[in-house]
Amino acid sequence: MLRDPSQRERGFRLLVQTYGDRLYQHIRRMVHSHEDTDDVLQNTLVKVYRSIDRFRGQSQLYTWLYRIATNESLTFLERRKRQRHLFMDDAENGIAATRAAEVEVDGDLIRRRLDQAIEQLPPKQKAVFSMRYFEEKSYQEMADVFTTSVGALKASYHHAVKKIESYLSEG
Amino acid sequence: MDERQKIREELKDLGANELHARHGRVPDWEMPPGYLDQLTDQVMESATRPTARYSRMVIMRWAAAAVLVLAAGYWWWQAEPTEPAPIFAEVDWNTIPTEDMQQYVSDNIEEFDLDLLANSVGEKTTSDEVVSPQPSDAISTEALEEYLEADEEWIDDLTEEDWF
Repeated sequence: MLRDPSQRERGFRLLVQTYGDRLYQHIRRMVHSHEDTDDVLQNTLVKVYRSIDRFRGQSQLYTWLYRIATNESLTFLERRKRQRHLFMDDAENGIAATRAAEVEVDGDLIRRRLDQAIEQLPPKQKAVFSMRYFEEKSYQEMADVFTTSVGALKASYHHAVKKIESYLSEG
Repeated sequence: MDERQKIREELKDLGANELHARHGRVPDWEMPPGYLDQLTDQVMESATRPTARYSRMVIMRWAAAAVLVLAAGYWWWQAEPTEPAPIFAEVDWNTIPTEDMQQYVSDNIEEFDLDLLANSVGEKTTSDEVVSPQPSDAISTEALEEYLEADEEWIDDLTEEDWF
């Protein structure tokens, strides 16, 4: 349906209805704020729409979507990291204020502490931890998304778990 | 064993008690109402907008042109000699034989400005190098009388008209 130009719009709307929520959760666990998630998800879906002809069907559709969303999230996180180095104080204050406002709305202490702990991780560990811990993906599924070995992913996840546990134990 | 069970076992093995206790208790984020429909419309609009592609192409072309100009400028700067060459080469006139110069002037006489040549000759004659005619009183009286006596017949040949 997506490859047929006359049905593409309908097919795309169906795709967003089916996978939009999962992609939103996946991206938001990495970038945290709704505004940032909105930007990253929009970029992801624009890329999906434009390159749907290149999807060969060799992997599952959601794996392909996750790969694009993960790459977009990592790109966003790397860029933000560089910007933080350049404008350290403003960025830190802005992000902290946004986060605090959202936490007030959610009122979820468990999420807040976990969120703060995840924020300390480097971008790739953040993505790996999020996919394993929250989305309960197997290492093999993650290897398809990241196009890396299961062993490397296990090592990355274990490092992330140790760091987060240490942060949570201190608090 | 399902994946959730595997994850919990793994957390236990890693001694991550805090994470183990929280696993499965973190709620999903809530999206604003109608968010996905709105997002789909925005994505369709920006994905099918031709100007975005056009502007990207234009930007790429300008970038390529800028790179070429910079490369050409760098090449020119590198190729430029450290000392500028003299506009006119210094000619060593002593190495050119006088005959050659005279021949050249003779062959190309029409190429020269005759007025300029005439002035040049005038300037030459006023210079110290040119021998100026001897004043008439430098010739002795004896020499003049001798000259006239030697060939005075020409005086007889003169007519009245020649005298006046």
